[in-house]
Amino acid sequence: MSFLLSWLILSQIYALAALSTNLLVGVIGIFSVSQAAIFGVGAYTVALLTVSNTVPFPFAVLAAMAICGGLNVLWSLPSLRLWGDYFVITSFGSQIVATSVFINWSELTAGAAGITGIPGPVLFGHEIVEPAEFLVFSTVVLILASVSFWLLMHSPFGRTIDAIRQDESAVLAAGKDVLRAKLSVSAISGVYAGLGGVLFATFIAYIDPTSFDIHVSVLILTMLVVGGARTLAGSIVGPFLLMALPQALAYVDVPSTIAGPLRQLLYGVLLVAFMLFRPQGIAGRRL
Amino acid sequence: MPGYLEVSGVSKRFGGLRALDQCSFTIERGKISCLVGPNGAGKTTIFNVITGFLRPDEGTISFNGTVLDHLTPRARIRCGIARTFQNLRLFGEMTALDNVVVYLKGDDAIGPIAALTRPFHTHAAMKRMKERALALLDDVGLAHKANDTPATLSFGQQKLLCIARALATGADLLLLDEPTSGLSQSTLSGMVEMVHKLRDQGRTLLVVEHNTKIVQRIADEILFLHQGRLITQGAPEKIVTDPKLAEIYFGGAL
Repeated sequence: MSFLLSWLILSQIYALAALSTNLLVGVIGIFSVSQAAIFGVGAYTVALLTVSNTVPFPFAVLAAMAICGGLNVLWSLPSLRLWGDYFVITSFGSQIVATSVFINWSELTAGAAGITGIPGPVLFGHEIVEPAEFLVFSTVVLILASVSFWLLMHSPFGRTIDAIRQDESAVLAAGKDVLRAKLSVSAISGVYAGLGGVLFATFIAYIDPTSFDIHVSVLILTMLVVGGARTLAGSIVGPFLLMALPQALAYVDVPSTIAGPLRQLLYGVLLVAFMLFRPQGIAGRRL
Repeated sequence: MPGYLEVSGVSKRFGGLRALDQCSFTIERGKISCLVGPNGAGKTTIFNVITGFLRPDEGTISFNGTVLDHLTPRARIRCGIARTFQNLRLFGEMTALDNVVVYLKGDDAIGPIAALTRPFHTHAAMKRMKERALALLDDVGLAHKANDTPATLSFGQQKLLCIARALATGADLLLLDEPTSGLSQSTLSGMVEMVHKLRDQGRTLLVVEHNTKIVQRIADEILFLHQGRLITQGAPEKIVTDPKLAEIYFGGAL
């Protein structure tokens, strides 16, 4: 598979995860560090439902969207009572729990070995296996998600959720239903992450718990910081840049044993550098 | 005749502190009532209790014949009560126009589902809301600042923006927390005029105010609070000349 195609597709997949995080963390201000877990639940759901052709792909996608939306609402419930740093810790715990479940509920998830042989997306009786075809599919999904994000942000609801992050009491004084807004955003954010997971599982055809651990959550947050929060462009630029990094490293002559740690190091350096020198990211606002 | 807003026997304790202690008063429709009293008298607490931001330990509040006790802040706003905050609480990253848009009544129907499934309807609604918000900004003399963020406005303009937001809720009763504090002499008159204008348009105002000169200029009635209780209520000329109140307020000799 060509490097360019895999970079484009993976970037689009992480852009969905970044959109999810953008809405939750960037817009309404629920600082979750567990979006990779929701992304993973989407991936596992579609994998388990389609791996032995038990459920048609579109239904598996709907199931993944519903489960991820619902789960993200549950995940965010502590944010209604906990503020800032306290919720970050809760969310960190949620991520650890999810990873443990992915690893240890081996009857369902096949544990650390992971699930192999996940079929590609099947639409109108045609299975998408060629990367070029997959790119068309993932592009359409990302466009739909982006349009929905844009529509939300440019609606009265978008103004309300933007205001909630800035001053929740003032939104309460406006007579707005803050609770409902937070739950709605959590659900929509979960759906985006779930869709990302669906594309990930059906593109790679293999999933294991390491694809959805805390490092991935931090990676998605880094994409948002680098791209810039609260804008559509930010959620897309960030993933494309950060996914290019491992590929760029492949051109540098480093031993494979240190390529992995070096990549993590570079992600960390990028995160700190952007936080310090360009907190608004490339095309967005300060987180 | 029952009052427009009736506060009866309301108490609120914070630990050992009695912020409100069997506080009772009634205000009439169409008047400007000023809440005065020394720091810690319970003025802001009574605002929080009326708007539902705080639950009182005891007592009851009714507005326009409706008992508010079990209503959420949101439901109280729908009854027609809006407030401003002492510390303004403007949305700093939004334009003045969007600050008002968030407060506009009636956009609740356009939730996330409608935004996604009926984009043209939502777009049209948003356009109408921006027009309404602009009209409200015009009412308080800020139409020319519609696209500016609060940080670029003067303090007086920020306070006017708070009033525009409160008006956007469609409220009949406005609770203004220190609308003139920190204003320069020149902007002060504008605010006094604004408060009068709001009353003349048929609204009822309950205003927390420290400056006794301003109180005399704007108040139809003064409510004097001390240690969480209503000490006296009456016309400004009567209250400000009361030596007992001067003692409490200024610590002067009786």
